Amino acid sequence: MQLDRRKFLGLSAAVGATALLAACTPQQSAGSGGGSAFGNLPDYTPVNGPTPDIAGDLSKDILDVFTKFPANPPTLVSDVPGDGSEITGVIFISDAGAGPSMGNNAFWKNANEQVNAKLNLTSIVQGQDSVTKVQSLIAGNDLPELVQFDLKFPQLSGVLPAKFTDLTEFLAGDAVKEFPNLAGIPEQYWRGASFGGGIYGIPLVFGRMNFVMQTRADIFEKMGLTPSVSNKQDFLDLCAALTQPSANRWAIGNARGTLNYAKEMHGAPSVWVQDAGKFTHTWETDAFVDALSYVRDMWSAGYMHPDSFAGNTSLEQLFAGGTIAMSGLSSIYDMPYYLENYTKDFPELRIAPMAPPEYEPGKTIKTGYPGVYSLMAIKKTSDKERVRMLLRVLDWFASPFGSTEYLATRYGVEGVDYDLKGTDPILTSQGINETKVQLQFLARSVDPLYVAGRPEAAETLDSYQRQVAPFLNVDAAFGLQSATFDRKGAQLTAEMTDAQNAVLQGRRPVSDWKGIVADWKKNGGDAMRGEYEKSFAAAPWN
Amino acid sequence: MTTLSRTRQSSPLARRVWNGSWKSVVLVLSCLLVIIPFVSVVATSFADQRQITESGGFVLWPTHPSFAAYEAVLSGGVVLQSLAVSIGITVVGTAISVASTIGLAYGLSRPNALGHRPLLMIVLFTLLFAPGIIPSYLMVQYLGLLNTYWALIIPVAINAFNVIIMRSFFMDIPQELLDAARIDGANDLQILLRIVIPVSKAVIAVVALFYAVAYWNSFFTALLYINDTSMWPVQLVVRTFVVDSTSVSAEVPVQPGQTTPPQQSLKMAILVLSVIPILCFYPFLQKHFSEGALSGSIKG
Repeated sequence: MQLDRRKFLGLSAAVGATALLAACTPQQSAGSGGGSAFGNLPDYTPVNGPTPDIAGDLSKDILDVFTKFPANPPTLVSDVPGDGSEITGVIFISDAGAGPSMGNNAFWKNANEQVNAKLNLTSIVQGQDSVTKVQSLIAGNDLPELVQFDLKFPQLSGVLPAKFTDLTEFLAGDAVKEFPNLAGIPEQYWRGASFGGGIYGIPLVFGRMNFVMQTRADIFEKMGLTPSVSNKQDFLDLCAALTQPSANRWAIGNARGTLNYAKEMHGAPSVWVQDAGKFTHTWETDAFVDALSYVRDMWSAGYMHPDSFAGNTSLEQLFAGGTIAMSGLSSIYDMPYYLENYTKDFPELRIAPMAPPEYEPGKTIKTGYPGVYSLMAIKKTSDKERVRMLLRVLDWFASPFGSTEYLATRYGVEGVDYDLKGTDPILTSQGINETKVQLQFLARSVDPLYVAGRPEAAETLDSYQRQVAPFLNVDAAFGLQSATFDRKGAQLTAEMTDAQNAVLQGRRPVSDWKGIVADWKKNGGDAMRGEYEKSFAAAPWN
Repeated sequence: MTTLSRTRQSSPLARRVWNGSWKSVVLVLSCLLVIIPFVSVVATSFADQRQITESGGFVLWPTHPSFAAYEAVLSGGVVLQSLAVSIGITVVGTAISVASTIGLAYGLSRPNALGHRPLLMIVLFTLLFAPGIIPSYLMVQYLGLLNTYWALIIPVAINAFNVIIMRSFFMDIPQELLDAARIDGANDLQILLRIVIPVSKAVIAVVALFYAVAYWNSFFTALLYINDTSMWPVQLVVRTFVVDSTSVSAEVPVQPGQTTPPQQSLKMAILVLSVIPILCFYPFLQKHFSEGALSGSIKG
């Protein structure tokens, strides 16, 4: 048979594409897409750690509050977790940049000693860099033992069962008690690690409250305003009073955070909402359209900073510098973060969170997110003892706040990486540099709210979380499987975000939104709904 | 009508001044567009946190200049080490690339060289169809180059575009010159070393510059092939500081676990440090730049 150039190229492309697809396609038993099979998730057993100043309840999304680091941190893991061998892994890099390599890093070497292992970790920028790297490692069959996965990793529900260990027999039900710190991760977080009937990773967990509307209490006070609203008009009045472009001040920045607060004020759900097994996306609700219209008016009235649609890059600087008086794109942890990092340069800085008003008499909604930042998966192996050892190491890293293990995973070595101020550990410049290697990304417990030395700020934050936690609304599709979302979710979301921004900026009329949503439904929205409903029917938490 | 007459009657000097002024304004504005971002990067690297925060991230003039960012960058060791790695890769890589390119281009420029036409086709093919990420990774893995500096040099050692530029230049060298050398008893290697290279300094300089800049700016190969962060080149380290991954995962507004804010001055200081070597290198080769780049492009 003669093979001309065109046929040869065509054949090569077909062979290449098939091989790639085969590498990334799940085995039949993985059950991706249908989501008909779910295994048991680990039982939740709270860890008996140090006593907080104000006790929370993770099962109700209320975090513990500490105003100082415990004076005599207990050691919670009594056995040495590692076996002295090398553990390879890929973890994300923080925004603070790359840290020193293991040989020049006392913080890292100390962790190695504590767990009795050589943690040979490669740090990669999260997002496309990490996807490219991990895809290459998969294709080269060169995976390290531990891989940190973004939940948006392409075809994650296929990749995990195909290439990584199912941890069900080690973690499901009360088996997790062998790893007490992992058992301290509540069930709602494990949903994100459940794929095709197995548990394929340790979720990296955080408090689930985000999109907290933070206000600059010092600016409010100076202007005689109160960071509190009881209806939608109150908020607009507040924005009008705060906006003074001639004084380089706008009420608010970042369109996404603003729209989210408007959604809360109008009663629109976070993402997907489930009612009697039927799923509806927030984009389909009338409340969302009202919120769009509301923010569009805010933009045209000039209440929003001109960079509000330019991403989040400068949001932190704008808020800390007082150019914007409110920031809606914040997690519950941001207030301590700002106080810790900016009060040196801005001693006047004071922050107060502002709860959303009722959208109807007696009805409130507060957006949350699933609280799972990523998954730490273990490469597929039949060596069960090795898996147990790796889980013991991850369990050590998941030790809660206030323990000696926590000090080692976040602060390093006393006198080198941190010094004690009272009982609070303060990172030295060497510590700041060395802890850029995010060993805590291997595994962690849900952090409490730690507002060092500021009992009044701790109380403010605690009263806020108790006020809104009962109304926390988290994406109902979290942990459910949708092949359509895996395949087209990112593209569809990007298209909807573009359309949403066009409406908010006045480039398209609000009346277009109905047609935009109809297109989304036709292009995959309805397919996702069907898959989520089917998956929900089989979910153990249903 | 009066105005028109006046304009028509305006002196040549006035016209020259007018023409010169608007050209100057356009040129000054164009220069400012280029210079201001550079000035801002340098100024921000010297500014303090309060000024940077108040100005929303960038400043044009540091009111309280400080070297703190540079001290932080240079004391950590990460950036200095990566600068040394980048310099090493750039020097060794450029030497290997230039030598390989000269050899290949010379061979391809000789019409009677054995197999030069199929070889030329292969070179041109790579110009049109670059290998994908995964095939490249598999090849580097197969060759045992993963986690070695050679992985950053060998796969990109020869660039087809540069080969074509150099080949065209070599083909423009008068045949009589080469024939004369051959009559004098020189073999091909001697002709290359004693005749071709000395008359091709301009194109070699510009190709060397292309290679050097490419090696210096390269981060993607290191991202793929190097796992040990102590072997990272400076551009990959810079990338970890300047890429804002919060925009990638907007579900978590502030990067979890981040104990310090991303310091803008630190980022800018690293950018300045990463640009300085190439800025020092460039002016010395600039005079060859247009001569070398264009000389091979037109035959006749």
